[in-house]
Amino acid sequence: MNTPHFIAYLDPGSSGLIVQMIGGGLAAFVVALKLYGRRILQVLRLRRRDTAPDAAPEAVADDRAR
Amino acid sequence: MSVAYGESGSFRDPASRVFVVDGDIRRALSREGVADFVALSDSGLLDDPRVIATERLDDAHSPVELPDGVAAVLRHERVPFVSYPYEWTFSMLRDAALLQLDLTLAALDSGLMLKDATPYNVQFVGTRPVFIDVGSFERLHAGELWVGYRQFCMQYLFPLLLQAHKKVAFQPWLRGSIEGVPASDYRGLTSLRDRFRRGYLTHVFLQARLDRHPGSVRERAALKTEVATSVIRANVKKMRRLVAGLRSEVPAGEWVRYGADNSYTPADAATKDEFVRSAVATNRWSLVWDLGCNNGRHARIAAAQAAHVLAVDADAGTVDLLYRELRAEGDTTILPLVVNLADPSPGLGWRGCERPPLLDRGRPDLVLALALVHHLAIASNVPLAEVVDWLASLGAALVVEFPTRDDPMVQSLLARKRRDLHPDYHRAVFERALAQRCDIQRQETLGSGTRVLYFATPKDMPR
Repeated sequence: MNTPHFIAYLDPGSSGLIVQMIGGGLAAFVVALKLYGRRILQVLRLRRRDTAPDAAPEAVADDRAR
Repeated sequence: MSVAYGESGSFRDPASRVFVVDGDIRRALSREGVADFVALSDSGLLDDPRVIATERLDDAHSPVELPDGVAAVLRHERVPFVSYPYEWTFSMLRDAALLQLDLTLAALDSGLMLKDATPYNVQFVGTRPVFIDVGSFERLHAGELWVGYRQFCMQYLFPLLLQAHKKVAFQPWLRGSIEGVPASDYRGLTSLRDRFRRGYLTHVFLQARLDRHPGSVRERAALKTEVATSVIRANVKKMRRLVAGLRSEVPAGEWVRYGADNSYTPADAATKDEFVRSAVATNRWSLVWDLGCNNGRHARIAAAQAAHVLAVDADAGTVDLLYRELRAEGDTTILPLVVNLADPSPGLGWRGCERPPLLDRGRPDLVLALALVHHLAIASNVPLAEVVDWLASLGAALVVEFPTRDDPMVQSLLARKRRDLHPDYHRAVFERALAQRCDIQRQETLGSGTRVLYFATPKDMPR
């Protein structure tokens, strides 16, 4: 998996990206479900959280750096 | 010898940075920044009157550095007075938000995008919002979503929702944090009714919940390769409909009706207008401050003889009404702002310098302080001599009104306080303090006998 190249100086935050996918029309909604279905279900408490989260520590730190 | 320095609020974007040379506003661009600027020029958007007038200079000399070096320098038109969103009214913030969204849509049509979405990129020339951050335009990167969405929510949407739906003034929240209002904070204020409002589920609920569960690098990498411009356009258009539909009822505060319903007789009001008019007519002013402007009656009189007028009042509802009236007239001279003079905007952000204090952003050459002194001295408990000292320290000519202890408004303010709490509040104390700092050119007592007007100039001011 390639590491993303962040061109923007502003961290968009993954929550903002997911919300845009959901609100961006049917095609984007389907893509969002495909990519994020598990996470959205976890957030909505429709699916149990994995005991070993796949998010690497640096990814969490990256997400929290606004 | 020229004076050059980097603008204290411009350092976050590595592709572009603003600096000042002898009062001239300039912007250093990196090589990437230049490529984006050329794309912007080719799109025609640079000639749009909603974007600050900008030209590229032949000389790329810059006193500020960029990580990748400075490849070009731009010069921008100067904004008459810099203001910040925590000094704006609801309608001003909403108009700035709509400008941001409209420019985003216009940029998309030209294969461009805005790399951020902050109200600090908008300034008001009078009541006309202008987008000042030319460095924010960049070429659209394939697969990239609306990077500024989250920032738009925190700095535009949630503050507007706070006031429109919760009847909570947004200004203290934006002054409290220049990053804005997080989704989780706004969500904490919502009620059952708010959950059925447009935009709640995605912008508020889902965003707040997702913020608590950070995503992985894998997810984000996959996302960036899959999306299309149409997703951004759909989201921006939906956001525009949401923002355009927001309304804030002007609160029926005591000052909203003050302009029409006050203690002045028609004759006194006419005498006061004439006094202000004749004082204003003694010069051509570059910047007039009308402190405690209320409905802007005297700011309008001053505007006839001034390049720019700053009209400030602590009552956000009154200032919003004034803004809407002036905006409908297409006024570009008078800038209305929400400011409590007993607690004016301080320096905020990085090193406390990123957003300078109100009083450091420009000095007036004429100050109107009508029906103000008694509020500062009695309602805010500032000693009378201190009030006069502060007004004189602005270094401008001064039109000031002193309501005596017998005035109905002063009586009303004094009645709320312990007896003898303001023994210094007397005309003699006021005049002595004023005469120490200024030359009193003219004074006139209104027919009611309880209000005195003064036109004074600083002792060292050339006349």
